[in-house]
Amino acid sequence: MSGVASERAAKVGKGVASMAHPERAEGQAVDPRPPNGAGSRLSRRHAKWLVRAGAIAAFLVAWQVYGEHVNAILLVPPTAIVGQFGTMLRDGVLLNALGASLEALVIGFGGGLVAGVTLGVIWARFAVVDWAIQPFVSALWSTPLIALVPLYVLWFGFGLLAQVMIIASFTFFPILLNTYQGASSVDQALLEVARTYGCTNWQTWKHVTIPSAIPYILAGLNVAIGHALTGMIIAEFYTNAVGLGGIVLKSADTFQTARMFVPIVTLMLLGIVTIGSTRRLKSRFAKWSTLSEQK
Amino acid sequence: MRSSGGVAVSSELAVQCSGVTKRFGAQAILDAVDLTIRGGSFLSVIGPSGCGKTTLLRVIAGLADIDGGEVLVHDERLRGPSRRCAVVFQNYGLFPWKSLYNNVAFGLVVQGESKAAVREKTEYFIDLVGLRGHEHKFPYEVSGGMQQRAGLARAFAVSPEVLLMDEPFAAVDAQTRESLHAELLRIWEHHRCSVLFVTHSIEEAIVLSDDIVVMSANPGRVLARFTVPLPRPRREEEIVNEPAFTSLRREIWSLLHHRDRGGSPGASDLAALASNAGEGDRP
Repeated sequence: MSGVASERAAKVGKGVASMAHPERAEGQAVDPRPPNGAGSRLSRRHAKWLVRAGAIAAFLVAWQVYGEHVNAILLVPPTAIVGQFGTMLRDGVLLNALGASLEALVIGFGGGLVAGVTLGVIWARFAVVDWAIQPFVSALWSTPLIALVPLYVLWFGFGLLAQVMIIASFTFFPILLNTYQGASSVDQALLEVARTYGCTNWQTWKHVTIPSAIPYILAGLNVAIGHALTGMIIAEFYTNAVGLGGIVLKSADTFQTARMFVPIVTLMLLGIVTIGSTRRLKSRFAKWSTLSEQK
Repeated sequence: MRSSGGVAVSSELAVQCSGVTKRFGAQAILDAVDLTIRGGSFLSVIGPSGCGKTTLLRVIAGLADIDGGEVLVHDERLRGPSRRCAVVFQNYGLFPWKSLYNNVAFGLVVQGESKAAVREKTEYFIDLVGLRGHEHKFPYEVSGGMQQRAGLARAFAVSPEVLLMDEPFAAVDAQTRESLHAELLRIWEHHRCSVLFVTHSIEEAIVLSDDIVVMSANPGRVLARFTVPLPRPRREEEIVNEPAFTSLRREIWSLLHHRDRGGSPGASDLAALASNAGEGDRP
């Protein structure tokens, strides 16, 4: 309240002063403002992080308090998880599992990405493919892919191949659909520019269609990473139980709840890292796009 | 293929449209339009919106089919977009994912110039249009005026015989437009080509052109053709007050408005021009 009053006083003072003493008015006008403006902006950013940290801290404290008072088979407090995390990090179990999971993830995701972009481009390019592919895409898109996982195990066994194929399938669809949408919604005016400069089909694709699809593909990447992580865990549930999903499953079977939480936390961290890196990709390769500003 | 030696072709006809007709459904957008552009000359087409002036430009650019008539570009019958022509677009038509430099280089790259030639010409035209220092920015980072400078540079860079400009300065503010006029004329003096310039501004047409074709709407027809009696080089701020300028402006203005009874320019304008299009055929 006193702040408001003094601010008003300063304003009035400035108004009067600027009539009589321009140089004094300047001093008054300039001095208080920049620190004020900058200060409020800074504190707003600080406030955001404070609130964020506060929310996380409150959540952890509540969990801790509650977790200490329930059956350790159902829930363990965060401190127990952190302790277990350290143990598993030291004895190498966690890193081995992470390595196994990431191997399948990288190969499967890479394969799904390449297949999705390639097929998406071909789909957008040729009307015949569009007509032919539409029913299959609709059928597969509406089918929960999880339903196909046992079939994949039947076809590809219990090893890495099955995991890779499952992850690739989970990755494939969001990439395929976004690539198709991007490549088929190119600005007609820009296609005309390409025509007037005598672009060949291939040049039009290289200079116009593919670049304009990139923001869509990157948006698809975001979704696909989530799907791929899901696929990775499901694959491990159904195939041989190494990897993060394997630890979850084995620990749950033996009621080692703290041990079960370690790979889950690891997955969360993995998710944060990968989403962060797609965001960086967007700001690097799709800075020009309004599509990338939506996130 | 006929060679074009710049000024040497000035006596030839760069573009000949005869009886060009274009319909959308039952409506004739262009109705038996005859139009010629002398080699190396600057011709503006002016008319109310809906008179088909942009459609005519798109026809000559090879972007639109015609339902009748014939278009010759340097005596060759037009079949789709031709490398003899370059287009400057109203909304600039820059690729948002390419820097201004790469936008300017675009035509040279796709037309198969060597890397060294692409670099040399791109640098040259970047300088010529005054984009030096901004060439690595992206279109969204610069003003409309600068975007259209890049559009001009991209078109001039491929050394077109015919430059087609579709209301290129309609989207920029008045001051920027005047400076772009001066730039365009300066560049054109050095890189002479035949120009078809579509505009809705009488002043712009007079300042820039050797010849002005006035069109009417519904159906799109050629009403009249004028020759601008002003010497070059021209300075916009000087010529706008000359009697030759003002009388030509008045003449074109009254032609465009001569049956418009007190309404504001626009829809009523169109209707007026449409209703008298039949009798409006002036010499």
